[in-house]
Amino acid sequence: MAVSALKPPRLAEKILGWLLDSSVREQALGDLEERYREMARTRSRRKSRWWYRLQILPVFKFSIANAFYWSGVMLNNYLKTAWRTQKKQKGYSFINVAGLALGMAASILIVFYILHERSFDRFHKDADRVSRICVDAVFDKNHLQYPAVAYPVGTTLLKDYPDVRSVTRITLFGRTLVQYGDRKNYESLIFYADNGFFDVFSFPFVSGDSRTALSRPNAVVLTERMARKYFRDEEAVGKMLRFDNKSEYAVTGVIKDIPSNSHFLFDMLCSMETLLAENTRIADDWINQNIVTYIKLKEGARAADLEAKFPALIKDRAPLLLRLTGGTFRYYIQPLLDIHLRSHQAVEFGPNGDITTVYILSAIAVLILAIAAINFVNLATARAGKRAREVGMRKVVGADRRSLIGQFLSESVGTCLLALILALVLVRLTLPLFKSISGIEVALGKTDLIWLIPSFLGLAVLVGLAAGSYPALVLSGFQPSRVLRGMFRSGRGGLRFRRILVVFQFVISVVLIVGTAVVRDQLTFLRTKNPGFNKEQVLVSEVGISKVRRAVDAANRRLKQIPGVLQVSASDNYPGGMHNTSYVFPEGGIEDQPVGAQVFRADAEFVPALGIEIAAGRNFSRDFPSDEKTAVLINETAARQFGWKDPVGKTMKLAGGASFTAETRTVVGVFKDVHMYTLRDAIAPAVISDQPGPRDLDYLLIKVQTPDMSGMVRQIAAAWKDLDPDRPFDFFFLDQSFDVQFKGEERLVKIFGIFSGLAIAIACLGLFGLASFMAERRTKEMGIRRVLGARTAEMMGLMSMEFLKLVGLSVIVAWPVAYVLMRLWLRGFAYRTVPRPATFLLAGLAALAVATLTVIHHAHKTAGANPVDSLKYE
Amino acid sequence: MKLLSRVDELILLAIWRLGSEAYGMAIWEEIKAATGVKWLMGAIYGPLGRLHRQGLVDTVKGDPTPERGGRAKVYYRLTPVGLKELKKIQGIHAVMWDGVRKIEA
Repeated sequence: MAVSALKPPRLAEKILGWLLDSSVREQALGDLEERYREMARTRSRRKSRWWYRLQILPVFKFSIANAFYWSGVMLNNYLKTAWRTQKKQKGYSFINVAGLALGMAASILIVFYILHERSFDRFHKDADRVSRICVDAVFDKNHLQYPAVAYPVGTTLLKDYPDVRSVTRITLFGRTLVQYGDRKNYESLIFYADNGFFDVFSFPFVSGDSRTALSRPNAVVLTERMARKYFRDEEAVGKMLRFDNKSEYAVTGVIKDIPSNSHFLFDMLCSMETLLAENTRIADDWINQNIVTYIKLKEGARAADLEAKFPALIKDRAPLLLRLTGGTFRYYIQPLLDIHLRSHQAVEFGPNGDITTVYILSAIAVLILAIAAINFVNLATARAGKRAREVGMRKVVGADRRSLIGQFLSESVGTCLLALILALVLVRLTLPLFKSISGIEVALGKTDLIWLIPSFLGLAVLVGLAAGSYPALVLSGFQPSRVLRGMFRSGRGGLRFRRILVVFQFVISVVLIVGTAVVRDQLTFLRTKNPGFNKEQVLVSEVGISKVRRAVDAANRRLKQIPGVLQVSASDNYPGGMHNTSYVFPEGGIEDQPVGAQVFRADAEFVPALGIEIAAGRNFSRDFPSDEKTAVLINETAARQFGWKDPVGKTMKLAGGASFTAETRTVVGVFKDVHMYTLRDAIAPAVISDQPGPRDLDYLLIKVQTPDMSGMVRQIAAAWKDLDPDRPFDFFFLDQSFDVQFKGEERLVKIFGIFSGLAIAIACLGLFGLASFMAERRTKEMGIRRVLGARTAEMMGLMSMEFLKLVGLSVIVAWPVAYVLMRLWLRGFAYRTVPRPATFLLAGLAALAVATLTVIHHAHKTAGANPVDSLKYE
Repeated sequence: MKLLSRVDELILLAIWRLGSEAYGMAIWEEIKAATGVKWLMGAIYGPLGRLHRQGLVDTVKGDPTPERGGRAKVYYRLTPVGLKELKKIQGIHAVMWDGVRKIEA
């Protein structure tokens, strides 16, 4: 028999040796090996080896029980010591726990925010198989991406592509007067959708059949909220809703309200069949790309494979588009789960989130936690001297370094767990406030809690270990022979390290303050930047199919009878409205080579109503009756881009409608550049074409001048009743709707403000602790200085300087960091403020001021103390 | 001092009966043979260590042998305290069992 066969399994032997108590290890291993050899002689080798391995079990059990017993004894002692230490230094414990709790609460709130942002659209079944088809093309020099395609794309995909399981198309229905009995309201969130909608998306039905709900014309599906609004307690399914006083829609389903974390929010869905019945042309219209199309792939199908087939589809069905775009026109697939955070297209269903904000906030969460953890490290090492004797004693009575490290680590972890409890209470209390500021709904399910609670516990332990490891190493390293003889100089240990950490804390704080200020500056810049038109005192009314639409001139005359109504303009859009990028063919350009431009259709009063300035030529005018058919205005950017030195009199073709017939128009004037959409983007070529036909008229812009706006609105509403008795006056203020674009930045300013405030508060908490400690340590020194004739102010300066120098250094380090970071952020804006030196100066001064206030108290107390008491100290 | 547990009692008895041959494996086999209860050999070292720390047994180191991987045997003996505790248990057993018989009779 080979010798190796006689040796017990090596790994098992190692484990046993490791588990067995040293007092019995030798003999036990000997006994076990002896027994093993005996067995190996009579029984199979395999069996013997397993027998040997099995012996680990009881040994393990005993060693665990033993470890628990002894750690129980010591834990009791540790807890007692920890409790006494905390009680003896109440202020210090408070700073630690409060700082950590604030930091954790901030992080937890940020985690909630991020969870919410990341949860968008994940509630759909198989959300990872759903995606949106988008267009990517270059019209002239303008690179366009938008999430809508031609209507027949959906039909073709479902019919000819086996990878596609279901398709749904969505398009806006428009603001509509909805009526049931005597209940009538205007509703905006109404869309057309294909029957496939409820297979692509899983919005649960309360009543009705999800498979057929949208299969027939004039069917409508409501959310529960809408069903309650119109039908109260009656059963909605089967009832009829009247739209715009003319069409009847049968309610075929009621679904649960749309969760706030859906990128697509709607109140009502009408069947796409309704639209098809009214407008049969769209079924074969490959040119207009205006139907939002979602697909759901079959299980195992890959989006990339499908995408690869699109070029052939376009070449086959829409060669014209390829020609118009120099071959750049293509479709691509955008995963549903990317829409909220990673899609920034010109047209979206709602304001999307931003992955950059998520990253920035994650970084802030980590940094705030770091600041709180640094407080712990600094205070623990600064006060190490206080515990030096304890460490010495423990070592003398036989504690090894490992157990001391264990002791200090468990203390810091314990502190963190305590802080976590406090943090959760804080979160609970501040959640409503946070919700109203961030505008998010924190809806945590039970399933979230199952992993959230352990991860918060894990976080607390992690922070505890991170914060406790350095102090534990320092504290456990004391030489008992030295500390017990009193040779330990309190507070000197790790002084430089502490200083670096303080600087780090304040660098973060100052960067956050500067960040807040710059975001604020940028917002103010955008808000106050003149968009080039006057948005004040302009009422916008969507006329839809109102009778007013057919009688614009009558409406114009009637409304102008009201004193204070200056202009009434009919147009197909309004500043800040839907992007309406089309293409034009300017004279002198390459034949069949269009230029992307924003095309507005509006009458002669559009320009004066908005106070847009004419730079050259003239506005449309009633004096030139031919204007309606032949005139066009362009902006300065358009003139530049078309390469026209003297634009008035030049001609261009406008691409129009589904038929794609071009009409030729002459430029009669050039208007100054105006921000028609957002102030975020650069100004694009814009064209205003005169006098919309009834088909294109969607809005009335009413410019008024009045000190009493509500009275004015009443008068207009009364006049409106004469024009269209069935549809009450429905309007919004242009300035309010235009300013909606600042919402995201406004929110960012608030969130930044809160967290930078927290960061500096926590950092100052730590500074306060350090200052109080240093003040205590220098009590005697100050007493001597006082006796030798130093003045209070001098002494206070001396003591404050120690910290203010650090904060000053932090400010200097923070400035370039903040500058670089904010320049990066500002790059996302076409029009941006330059970070002002004053902003940096103020942020630095603020940090210094807060730091001074923090340390001055202790400096004053110590410096101002009676030297008789000071000298008796220690 | 607390009374001995059943396991401690069995181990002490086994050591006493084995006399000069009481080392780990022998003790385990003795108990296994006497009680018929199956238990893993590794389970004996925990209690042995504890009894030693409590001063109920002391140890004598034997010579290392090759079949033990060059490790020495450790022989256990009862200390006077151990013997006293064992006798105390015996007395308690006797009294308690005696009482039971009387009740039964």
